[in-house]
Amino acid sequence: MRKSSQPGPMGEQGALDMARVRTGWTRRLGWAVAWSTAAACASVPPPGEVQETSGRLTSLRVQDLAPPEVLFQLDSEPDKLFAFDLGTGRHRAARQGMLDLLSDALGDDAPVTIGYTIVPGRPEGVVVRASLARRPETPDTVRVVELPQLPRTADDPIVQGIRLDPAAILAQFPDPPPEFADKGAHELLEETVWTVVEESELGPGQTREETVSFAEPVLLQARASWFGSPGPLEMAATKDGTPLGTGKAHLSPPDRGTLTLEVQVHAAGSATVSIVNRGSSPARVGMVIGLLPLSHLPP
Amino acid sequence: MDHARTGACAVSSCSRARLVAIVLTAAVAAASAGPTPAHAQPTVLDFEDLPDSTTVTTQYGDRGVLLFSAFLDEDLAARSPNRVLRVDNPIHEFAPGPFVIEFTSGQARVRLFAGISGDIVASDPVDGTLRAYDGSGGLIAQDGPKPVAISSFTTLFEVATATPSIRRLELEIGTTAFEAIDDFEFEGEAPPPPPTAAPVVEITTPADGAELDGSPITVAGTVTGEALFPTAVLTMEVGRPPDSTAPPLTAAMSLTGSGSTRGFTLEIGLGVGPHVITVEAENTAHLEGADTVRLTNLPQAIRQRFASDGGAATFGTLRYGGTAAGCVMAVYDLGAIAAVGTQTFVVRGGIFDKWFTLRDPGAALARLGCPTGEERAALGGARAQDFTGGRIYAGLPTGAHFVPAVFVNAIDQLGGEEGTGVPIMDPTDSIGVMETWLFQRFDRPDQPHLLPSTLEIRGSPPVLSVERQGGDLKDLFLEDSNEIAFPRVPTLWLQFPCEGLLGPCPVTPPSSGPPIEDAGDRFCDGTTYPWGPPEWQAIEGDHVLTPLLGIVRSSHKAGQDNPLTHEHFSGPEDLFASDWNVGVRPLHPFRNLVAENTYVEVEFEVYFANPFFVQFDEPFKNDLYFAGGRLIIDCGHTPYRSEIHPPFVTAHMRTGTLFGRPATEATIWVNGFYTGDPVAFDIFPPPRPSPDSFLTITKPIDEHAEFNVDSTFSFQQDHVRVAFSASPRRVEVTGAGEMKWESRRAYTGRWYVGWSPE
Repeated sequence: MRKSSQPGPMGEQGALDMARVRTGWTRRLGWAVAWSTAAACASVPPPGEVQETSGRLTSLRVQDLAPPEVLFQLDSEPDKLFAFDLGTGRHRAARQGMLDLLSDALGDDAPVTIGYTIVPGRPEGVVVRASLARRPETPDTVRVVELPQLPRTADDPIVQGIRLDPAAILAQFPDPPPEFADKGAHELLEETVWTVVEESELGPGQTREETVSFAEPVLLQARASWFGSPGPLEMAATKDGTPLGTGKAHLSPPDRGTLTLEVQVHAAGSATVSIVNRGSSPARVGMVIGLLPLSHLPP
Repeated sequence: MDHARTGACAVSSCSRARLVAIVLTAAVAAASAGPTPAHAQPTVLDFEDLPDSTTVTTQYGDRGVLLFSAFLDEDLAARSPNRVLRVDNPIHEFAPGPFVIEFTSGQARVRLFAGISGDIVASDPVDGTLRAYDGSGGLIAQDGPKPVAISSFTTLFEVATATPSIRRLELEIGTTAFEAIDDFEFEGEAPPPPPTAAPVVEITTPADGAELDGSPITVAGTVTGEALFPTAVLTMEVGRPPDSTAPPLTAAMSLTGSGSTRGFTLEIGLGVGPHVITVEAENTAHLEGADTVRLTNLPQAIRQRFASDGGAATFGTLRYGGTAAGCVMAVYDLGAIAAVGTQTFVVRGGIFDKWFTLRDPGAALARLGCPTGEERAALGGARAQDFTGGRIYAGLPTGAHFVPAVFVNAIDQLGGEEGTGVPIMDPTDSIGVMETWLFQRFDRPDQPHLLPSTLEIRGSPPVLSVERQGGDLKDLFLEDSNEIAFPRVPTLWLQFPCEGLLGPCPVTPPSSGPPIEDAGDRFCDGTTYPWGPPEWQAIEGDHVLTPLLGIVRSSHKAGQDNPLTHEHFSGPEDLFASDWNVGVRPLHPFRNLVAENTYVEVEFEVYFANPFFVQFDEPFKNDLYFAGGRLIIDCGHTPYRSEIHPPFVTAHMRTGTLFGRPATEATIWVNGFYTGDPVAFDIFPPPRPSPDSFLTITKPIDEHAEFNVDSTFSFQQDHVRVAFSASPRRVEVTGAGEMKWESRRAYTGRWYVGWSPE
């Protein structure tokens, strides 16, 4: 197992996933700022603009910076300076391996191959073909190429826990093919009478109640989902003032949760399901209540 | 007195030891060996009168000297000055010695200069002896033993008797040397007058034109004439491939009897096919006579098949035959017939032509050996025939190709030609750093949108890989058997260890353990949700990741869901659709994950996958799908079905292109349910296009694809293993079995795994 930036199994390849290339020695200072800007924006060139160059190292230097910076030149590109930093944390080992590879190439006078792009209009660029290949005497047996991916996974609002409109999202997808139209739920779903309580805000200490009526004994099922607050929220059900049960909370950190309640009511009438926000911040709460006649209870 | 050459033997196989032993058993009658004045004008043979490289027998018969396949040869040390006479051709492996010379009349004095040729490794002289025998075989004179100089003809041997009674000489130098002589001089009685007519040879058996079935046979006959040379030579030419350089079989036969009519007989083994046997005899005047018979040796079954299939009009002329284990084969101009046990098989047309080219130089049979069945129809109008060493296809768009047995076995075990295709090339290899020991590609003519399949043996230890887009097509969801497969179906690999670099590679079709039994009673208390069990009951544990690999049968939004067990839903209020359902037919060995179902549904709320789907895409029908997640029994239904619900890690894989070349496109989703426990799956590339192609992986930059998930990968020679891990995290599970999704943990990215040309 290896990170993509580690040398290959044949010792022939490494990956250069965050390296930089710059023209001219005189602009060496200040590259970090330029790089950060380039990496953060969406102007990374498409893969088709990846440039590749090969050559033998004419110099290899390590600058005592934080993190240490590796600088090297190739005989084929005497007017360019290639650089990468040794990184920190989990990247450190991979980039140290890359430095080792370059050191070997310099010592052996072996040709290396790198891929990179120049960000248009900027002297600094990003090496997007994240491979640094030292071409061996024998043929390659594997090659690794890394490409940028935008947007990044970290930009996914769902991953970040940002609330989106479920209805809008679900509406993007077509209905299932006819042969799957009634598939997915349990077999008594359609025997259940549902009450949907629209989502609304529930402030700290506030309570919301929903009353449902039934003409025969039922299985009372309720679920409330909230977001925007770490909670806790509580759920309870009563019938004619008599407690039927309390809901169970399930937290989805940092700011979401669910309350579920399920209780058999053995007489017709009405029941009230209440939700109270015990937390210190408001929560958006929606609820659904289902009534399934106990006559469906198997003998 | 021809006791030194009794019986018959192939010239090249006569052993010196045998002949020496015969000499030693001869009666020894010691006689004085002192030189005696000649009674007549001496005769001198300097061997300059015959061409170089002549085999000498009766060429000096007119001067009373008979030799036994002596070899006249140039020698830089010759006295005469260029040529000497050697006991045999030095190219033969063993020296036949001693050097025997017979006289047709008695001699009183003989002298010669001796030397050595052959494999001489010593520089010191080797002892030599010249012995003289009378007409009764009695030793009557001897010179030596005495040292014989190496690389020169300066050592003189001489024997003499009071009366001209020497009829035979034997010169022996060492035990392994090829004796040679020069300036051979003798005097005594004049030789009798030479015969004027050549001997008459008649082969009495076998008859000319005989059609035989078996071996060995006896060759017998007579030689009639005066002053016959005591040895006749049998030569047998056997039909051979046109590129054969094997010489005909030659054997010397001692003539039996005496007088002017002598006999010969020899038991000789026959090959298969046509034979020409010639017996040649000569007399002391070096006049030669010969007789020739032609015969054919074939199993009767081949003769019958030849006749029943049209005879010469179909097969042409018999050229040669050959044998292999349990098989006899006759090769004609236009085809071949094999007798295997009680069966016969015919090889003709393009298959025969290909078979014929697959011979090693000069070999009778192709490397593929004998046929094991008749020619048959193959895919795409091609023709195919099986042989012990593989299969030949002809009538292909690319001509005719053969498939080695190790691949034939794999093809037959793994869905037949329909599943793999017919060859588009002969096998090849790249045995250097690529360690491709055997490589071949195949095409399915009725599936023009699919890439050629590849079968290859690679690596150390060697592994047979069967690489087919869509596998054998039986796991795909095609509307009917004739449907042209969707061109983006994934490549399915099967791999089997081999016993050698070229096989064999025992192929066992993959299988699975038994399915989940009694799922309702074991996991749902014998009832259904909501009357007791949760809607989804984990089999191994809520946070245990169970891997599943299979082919996507369907991929769509759910028709309806239970709002009590889903966080998000929309649509008609009585449906509450929430999930994305991926119906998967597990591949082996994952078919043990089913309960009372055939397909395993992989279900998750589409809300959580939305950005992933938008950025990439959702699984498609016929994708290869990896899902690692919670294996459950759906207690909301009968029959009880197993599901992965929810998945923690998924990858849908199909064939795409990158930089203009086919590549497996794997779209990976690690989501908020992920426990952080290590999980890995493999991404296989499309079929390898050449034996020198090397693997190319194109992947997202880690920092762009990871979010609180660590990804690694490793090379598995022909594919990539991708692995994920993260800090431990156990999401909550409701009483109804719903796993609660959590944010801030994901990996989304698309990988391409393909091949680069060499």
